[in-house]
Order: sequence, then structure tokens, then C-alpha cells
Amino acid sequence: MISSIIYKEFLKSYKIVLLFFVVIAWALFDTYTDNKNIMYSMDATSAILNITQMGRFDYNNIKYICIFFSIALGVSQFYPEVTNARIRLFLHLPMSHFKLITILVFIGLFFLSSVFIVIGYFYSLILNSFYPIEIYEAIYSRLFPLFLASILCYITTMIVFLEPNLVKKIAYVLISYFVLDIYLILSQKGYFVSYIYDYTILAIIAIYILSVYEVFTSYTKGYIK
Amino acid sequence: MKKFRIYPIIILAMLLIAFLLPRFFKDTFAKPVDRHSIYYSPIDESFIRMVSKKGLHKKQEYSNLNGSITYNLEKHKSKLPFIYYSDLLKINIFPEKFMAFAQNPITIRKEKSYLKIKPEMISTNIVKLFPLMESQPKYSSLELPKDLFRLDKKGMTFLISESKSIDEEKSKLYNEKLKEKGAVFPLIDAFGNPSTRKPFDEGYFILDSKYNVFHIKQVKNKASINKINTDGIKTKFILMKENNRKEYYGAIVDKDNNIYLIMYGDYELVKLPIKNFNYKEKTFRFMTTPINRVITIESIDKVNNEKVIETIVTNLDYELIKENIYKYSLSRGETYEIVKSVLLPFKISLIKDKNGLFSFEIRDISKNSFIIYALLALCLLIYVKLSNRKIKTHIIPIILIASTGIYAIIVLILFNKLLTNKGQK
Repeated sequence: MISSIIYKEFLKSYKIVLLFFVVIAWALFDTYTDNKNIMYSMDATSAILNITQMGRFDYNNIKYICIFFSIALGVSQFYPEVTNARIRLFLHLPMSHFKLITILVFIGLFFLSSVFIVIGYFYSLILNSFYPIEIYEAIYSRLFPLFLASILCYITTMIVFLEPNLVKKIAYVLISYFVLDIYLILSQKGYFVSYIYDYTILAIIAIYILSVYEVFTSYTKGYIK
Repeated sequence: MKKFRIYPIIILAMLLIAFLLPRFFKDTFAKPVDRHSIYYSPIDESFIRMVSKKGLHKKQEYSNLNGSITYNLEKHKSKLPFIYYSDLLKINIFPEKFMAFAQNPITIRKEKSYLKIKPEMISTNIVKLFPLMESQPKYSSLELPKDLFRLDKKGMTFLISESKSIDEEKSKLYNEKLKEKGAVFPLIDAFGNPSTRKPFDEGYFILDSKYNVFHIKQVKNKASINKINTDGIKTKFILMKENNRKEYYGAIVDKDNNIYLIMYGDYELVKLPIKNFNYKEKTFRFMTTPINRVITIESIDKVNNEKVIETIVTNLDYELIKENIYKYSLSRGETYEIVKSVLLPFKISLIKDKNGLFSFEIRDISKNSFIIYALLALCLLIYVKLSNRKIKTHIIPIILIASTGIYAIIVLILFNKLLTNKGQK
């Protein structure tokens, strides 16, 4: 049963995952060539000090790709469920609701994490080929919050599709938006500043996951036909 | 258990609104706070004040310390001849008292120097890779080296920037010399000025694990290392600032909140006559003029909502001449204060903690507001009882309203949990 659910989710989202793998590969290649050009155009010490002292490093392509990917993945998984009312059929599978919802949430998180692990791995290869380990640690302290932010975006997208009440839907989106706004601003203020916030955002992700179970009660209580 | 699943998101939303709503109120109702600056006038040997009025009609007001005598801009400048000397000389109103300096204004310029230490300079985490420049370069300008050093349990490790390989020979040379001078590994921190835009280079001050401080420089490709006699000072931070005056290298801030200047020559440490300094909260400024030294320490008294400016004037031997503590209110206008004290039971603010990390703090707790919301919660409880609703299902919203007021009301309305209809779960 579980493998069938995983296969069903895979069928819905593999095209989006493949598409974003291409986009991510392009972004990583862009990061590689950017850094290569910097190392060619200025001496290595200046290039390193530009990052350590001035904080000059371009994360924007990866930042937006991660966030767009998480939203796109959420849309690809839950839009068909809601429009075709398949979610009600899904909830009637011979398993407890808790298990079904947990599988649904964690399949998406598994897809996202896999992609982020790939990004993190190639990023580390790129950075380690140009810079000392300290730079990688510094940049990763800014990159990691982007991954966590993307996970929150994914769960928010899930709630947007599943929550039937428009006001609550807007409330979830606004909470998520303001939390991410504060989190991303703080986590990019210098290096190594965000660890305390990483734990906070993990707690917020846990709260949102708990809310997913709450949102599903709208279906189980029969509010949604 | 299931019916409580919604409350974590409600509490999260409340905390978020407690952070955002006070900011919205501040933007809407608060008046901008005027900025006061305090100067020491060597002309009449007293403190004078400049108030920068904010808002639509921005202007500067100049006066004596209590504001009883006002000056125009020209008079204000003439009271500060070592700050505005070029203006005063241009319009021929340089004060008679210091006319000797007017003959040679270059002396004034040469004697000017400035240090500033802000809490975030001490608490901010940085990437610990440092460039050790050649202090006596072949050509006139300073150049960045081909390597960077890191500090670890082995001492200093020089990394060649391009290949990322370790320069074993150079690392060994510096570490042996550091050991000779009595350094205890691991080395903790390095303080320097990693820029080529400075008149000359004085290398780095290195702090070891026993609070010993070493001055390290590269002179004609050789290591120059000197131990500073810190006499038991537990160094927290060192500000290095190369200045053509060559009176001091910079300043040491110790863990007991003292500040010392590191003097040229034999690295004598001169303790500055400051009291109640706190490097975690206060900003330190230090200015030299040809006839005195002026120290300014700025902080915010959160309890009284005041800015505190402490100004200390010393002679050239750093002996106290005069000091003054000036306070001014940071109140943002009556309307804002009333709205804040009635509507907002507290606010959540961002602060930088002692480790340099941002954290949240609950501030501006309003007793009036708590009383109002407690009464409101009581009224709601009575209404629930009178309208034959279940008290059990309303008790959490009522507690939330009593404890967090408007923040809870907004969120409970959004999530439809303020008053549940009969039969609604």
C-alpha cells in the first residue's frame, strides 16, 4: 500500500522534479562559471576577502530556484487531488488517517530533501574547488536557511490547496510569508548568525505539519463534499 | 488532543502579530525622535549641544547643555575650533584663544584621530581567514598577500589562496617564533585591519588561550612578533587602527569592560578613565584634538526610555578633566504612547544577544493594557455563560485574550475560534 502511494506521488511530481533538476544544474553551472571568472579576474586573496569581509557572494539563483521548486512540487502534488476531489478517495484507503497524511507529507519532504542534498553536495564541490573550507562553512550557513525556507513554502502550498476556508487559507499564507521574510533577512545578516533561527524555523515547520493534520479534518468531518 | 492541534499555529500567529503590529503602530502614530549630540567646547571649557530635529521640518538647533542659550551655526562652529578649523579659518573667525594653531592648521589635522567601538563589532561572528600584509612593501602602496592565515590548535596556519595548500615553512616559522615569545596554543583570535586602504600596515594582534596578546607583523618577508605586557587583562576585543599620528595602535576592550589604548613604543597600556562601560550594550567613541581627548559613551536606558550620553574629557596624559552625563527622552509622542499603553500589552523586539546572535525579547509590558484585556476576557466569559455556550470550549481563547490581548483577538477571529457557535467543534 505504502509503495503504491509513493508511486502515485512520484507519477504526479516526477516531471516537475526533472524540470527543476535541469534548472538547478544550470544554476550550479552558473555559480561555477561565476566563481571561475572571479578567480581569473582578481587575485585569489582578494576574491576570498570579498566574500569574508564584504559578504559578496551571489546566492540569488539558488535561492529563488529552491523556493519555486518547493511551490511547484506542492502544486503538482495537491492541485490534482483537490480539483478532482481525489483526496476523499485517498482518505478512504484502508489505513489510519494519521498514517495516510504522514505518508503524504513525508513523501514531499523526501523529494525536497533529496534535491537539496544534491544541491548542497554540488555546491560544496564547487566551493571547495575554489576556496578554503572556512568559505564553504560561511556560505553554507546562508544556504541552509534557504532550504528550510523552501520546506516551509512547500507545506504552506499544501495547506493552501487543502484548507477549504478562504480566510484561514490567507492567514496561513500571511503567517508563512512574514515568518520567512524575517527569517531570510536575519539569516543573511552576516555569516553564522542563523543557527538559533534554524531551530526556530524547524519548530515552525513542525507546527505547520501539525496544521496539515488539522486541515485534513475538514475532509474527514465531511465539510467538503 | 485533536481539538488542540490548531493552537500551536494560533500561538505562532499571535507571536508574529506581537512582533509586527507594534511596528505598524510605530510607523502610523510615532513621531521621529530628535537626535542630540554633545560636544566639549575648549573655548569656554563646557559642554554644548546640537539637536537634529527630525520629521518634515528637519533642522539643527545649537545651544548650551540645558538649552537655555541658543547659538547660530557660526557661533556653534566657533566653539569647536578643532573640529571646524577649516571653516573658521576660511571666514576668519578662528578663536583668539587658540590663534597659535591658526598659523599652522596642518598641526590640527595631524592631531585628529578617531576610534569607535560598537557592540556588534565585538559580537559579530566573522570568517576567520586573515591576510598578513608586508608592512614595508617595495612600492608605495600596500598589497594583499598571496596567502591567508587561520588560527587553530597548531597555531597560525598559512594557506596559499590560489592552491589552498598549506605553506608549511611559513607556518612553522611563525609558530616557532610565537612559542619562543611564550604563546600558548590554540590561538583564539586575531585583530587587525585587512584593508590596503590605510596609510601603513601594523599587522595583527593575536590572542592566545591564556589571554596573552602578541603583535605580529611581516617586515621584509620576516616575522616580527612582540609580546604585549597585558598584566592579567582578559582581552575580549582589540580595535586596530593605523593612524599617521602613531600615538596608539588601537584599543583593547577587556572582559571587565575596561578600555585600554595600546601605545606605540613599548606597548604600554593606558587605561581610559571610563566607568560603567558595557561592551555588550554601549558604543564607545574616542577623539583626539591637539589639546585634549574626548571620550563619548552612548547607551539606551530601556527602563526609562532614554538615551544616555556620557562625555569624558581628558588632558593629553589621559587624566580626567571634565565629565558629563546627558540624558534625553526617546518618547515618540503622546498619541503613540497612549495607543501603545492601552492597546498593546507588550511587544516582541529583535535584539542581539551576548553571543552576537539575534534573539527575540518581550519589551514594553503595559499594566494598563493587561488590566483592560483581563476585564474584556471576564466580560467574554460572562457572555459565553449567558449565551449558553460551553465554557470548556472557550476557556483557551479567553485565557489567550487575557494574556496577550489584541494579538489573540485578531488571530482567534482569523481562525474562527473566538466564539464558536452552538454545536460547532
